[in-house]
Amino acid sequence: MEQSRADGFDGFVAARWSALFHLACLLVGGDRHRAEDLLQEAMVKLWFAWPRIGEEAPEPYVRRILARAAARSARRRWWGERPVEQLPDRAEAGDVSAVVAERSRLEVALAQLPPAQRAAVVLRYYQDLPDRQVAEVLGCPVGTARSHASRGVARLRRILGDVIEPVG
Amino acid sequence: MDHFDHDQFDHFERELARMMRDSQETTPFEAKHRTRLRSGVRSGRRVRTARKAVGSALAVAGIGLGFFLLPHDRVDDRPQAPLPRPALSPTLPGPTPTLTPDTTPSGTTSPTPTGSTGPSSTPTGTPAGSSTTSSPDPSTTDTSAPPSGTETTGAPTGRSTLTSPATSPPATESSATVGAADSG
Repeated sequence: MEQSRADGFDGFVAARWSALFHLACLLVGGDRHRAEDLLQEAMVKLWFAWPRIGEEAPEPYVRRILARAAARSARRRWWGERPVEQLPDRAEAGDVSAVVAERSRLEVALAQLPPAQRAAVVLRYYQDLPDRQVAEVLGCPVGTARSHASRGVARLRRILGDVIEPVG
Repeated sequence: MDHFDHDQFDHFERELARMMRDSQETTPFEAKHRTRLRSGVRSGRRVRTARKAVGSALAVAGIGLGFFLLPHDRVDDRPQAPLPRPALSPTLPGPTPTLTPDTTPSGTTSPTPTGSTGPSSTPTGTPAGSSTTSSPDPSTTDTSAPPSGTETTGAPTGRSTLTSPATSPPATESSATVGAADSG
């Protein structure tokens, strides 16, 4: 019983770790360490809930835990900038690939959003969820989820306006 | 799962979705992740066990407190027993027996086993003023009831008196408790 539970859980984690880690990265605005912490916490919760939901829908369960934890993280702990003595190396054009540069821009832009707006944007545009499911995952009314997403996108338009050029 | 329709996205939104998807890098589930996950599960187990223990202790303490307080509450708040009704037979100042309507002087009454025929046999139908109890006579009180006898039960005292109209002596000597049950 316990062995089959462990096997199923390990299989799911090994198969979905990469995708869920990327989701966690987007939800926290690109902080790898924090994304890993978040994903580890979500997986521990999934382990205890595995007998209930392991056969049904473990991924939506993890997604809900990640999104809610990321959306309320600002109320629990300050994850913002910390002063350092030496500035870290910045990505520059030429020494990194275009994909990495684009990812860096995206993460910097997402990091400037409030957590709830960022979570709504990621769930809507990366996870392709409609407003109703975004609200369900975040545990808020549909109007609130829609407002978070539209405000977040509006802010990203201003930040990424020079990267994503308008058509025409 | 119903996904969002990308046709309603504008150019920026489509590009944003593409950037989010394309920026994914392969991150394998490594041994360090597994080790950390297992330690997290172990610590979660400990937390859950401790939480259960605390919950059980609180439950036991609550039940014990409830049992400790319960007897005091019973003494104070329990409903009172029915007030003792005035005992009719021994305390009547003068046993002036009054014949009930269906009791003939010869002591023969209509033998009805249901006990609902006359005021002499129904404990609820007789006004208090007409209650009559004759002097206690053991020989007549304990007379075994024939099949046609009527049993009258005095509610407050719990005594049961069998009235045998056919065999009892005149009604003035029977120990029938008449109409005393609900006279209070």
